[in-house]
Amino acid sequence: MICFNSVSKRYPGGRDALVEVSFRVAAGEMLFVTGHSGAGKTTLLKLIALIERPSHGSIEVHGQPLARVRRRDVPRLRRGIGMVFQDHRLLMERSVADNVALPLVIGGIPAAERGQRVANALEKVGLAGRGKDAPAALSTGEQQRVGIARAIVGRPALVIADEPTGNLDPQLSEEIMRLFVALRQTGTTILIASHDLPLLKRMKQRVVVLDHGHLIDDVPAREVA
Amino acid sequence: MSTRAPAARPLRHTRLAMWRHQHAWCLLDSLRQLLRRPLSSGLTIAVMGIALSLPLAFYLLLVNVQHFAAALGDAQSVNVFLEPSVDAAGAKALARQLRGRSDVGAVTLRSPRQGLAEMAALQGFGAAVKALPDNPLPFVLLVEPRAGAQRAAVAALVTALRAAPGVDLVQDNGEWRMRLDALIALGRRATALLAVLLGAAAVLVVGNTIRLDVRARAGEIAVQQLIGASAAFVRRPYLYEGAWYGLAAGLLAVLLVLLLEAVLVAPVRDLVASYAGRLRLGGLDWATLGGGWAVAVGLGWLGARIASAHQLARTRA
Repeated sequence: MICFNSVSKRYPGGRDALVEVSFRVAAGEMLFVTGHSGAGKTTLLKLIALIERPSHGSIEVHGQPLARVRRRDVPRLRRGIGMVFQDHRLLMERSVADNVALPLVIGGIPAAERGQRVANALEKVGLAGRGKDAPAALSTGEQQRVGIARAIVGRPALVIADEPTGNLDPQLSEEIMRLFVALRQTGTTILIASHDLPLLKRMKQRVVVLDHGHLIDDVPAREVA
Repeated sequence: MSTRAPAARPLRHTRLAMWRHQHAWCLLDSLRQLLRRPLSSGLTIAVMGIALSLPLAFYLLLVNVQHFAAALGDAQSVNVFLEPSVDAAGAKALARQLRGRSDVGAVTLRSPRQGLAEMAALQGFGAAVKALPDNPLPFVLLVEPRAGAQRAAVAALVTALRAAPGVDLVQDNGEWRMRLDALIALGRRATALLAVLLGAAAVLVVGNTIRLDVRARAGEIAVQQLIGASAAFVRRPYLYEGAWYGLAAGLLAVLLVLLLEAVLVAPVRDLVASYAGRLRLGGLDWATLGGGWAVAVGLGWLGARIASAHQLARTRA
């Protein structure tokens, strides 16, 4: 599903965000990427979504070498990935339903089908019947749920999330993580960047640890304690 | 637990359906965005509409001046006013003499009585003519140059007429008509230039509005790009927005010109009456108005295309 092979990323100015990182994620697997701030977690996700290109090494997603993806094909690749952001990135002037429907609109899904799928996605994240609300009327946790609904409404094979619980209290964080675990049950591959070690331990999923851009540990789910 | 395969590239007919659904959404969403800010949208439409109405109004004026010129006839004719001392016999003799010239096509003799009657028929002159103690008008010869005569030949004829005995004044209508034609040509060119300049102004007005809109919605654009929107998809609502501006501004311009016509209809009717029905003045036809409207839509789209291409190139994720 995802294969990093000796991937390095050096930003202009000479800072190494990732150094010779190699790992594989199987289809349907859930993986946490952790490390302190600046360890390279966000860069790793950006490389998968082709927001950045690696300086060295190769990445494959769905068996497709990303180096061969042309600029004009990037949107199509991104449509196959559900993205969740720490700051939600909701469109505050649009309704909850409009926010969730956006990937479907971009995908050219007919209006009738959009409505049904948006309702299903909102139900999955526990926000059934809130489609007409403005995002500003929701709590931070609910806004993040909207972000997750938007990420899954297009039924992507892969969901990546960058610090999805970064702004949430422990209880809400665990609720959000449970949503991802439930999503995994549908066969979706999930990659989550998080620095919340206690939470990761409770989730008992595979964890990759980064430190200053180096992959220093890859802990299987059964060994997480 | 089964794993999910990534979506394959859609088939051609599916892509066409997707494209259609995207366009439908962009069309309605752009209209919603416009209606969300009625004041700024209204101002943009007003500025663009007024700018576009000006060339249409000038064109209307030009068309009517052309009608006016047409009503005056070909007007190669030359009016020869004889001296008051020349009597009917003298006038007839001169007319006969002129008919014998090879550069003259026809000569019509108009008596002082006929001249006075014509003048009395003109609006506003009736009372003045009645007040005259006697007829002050001379005999007039209306000389038509030979058909197809060049301007130089007509000028030579005019010179010869001025030198003829008993001639008081020679009025060359062709010269006056030539000046009018030159003025019409100038007006046509000025209208075209004005249309280009004001069209460019309309493009700039829409372009600037769209530029500000793209900047204001930079966050939304970034999110769209991150979740897989193509450059064409991101650009599309702004193109529709520009077209909506053009559509509304074009309608406003057409309505303004129709209003102008309605306001001017009474004085124009009087003017027509003064030419005893020879003058046919009128408004712009529906094809011209429709064409102007279509051009307005095109200009709105063009302004949006230029501004969005420039602005979106800066926000590419």
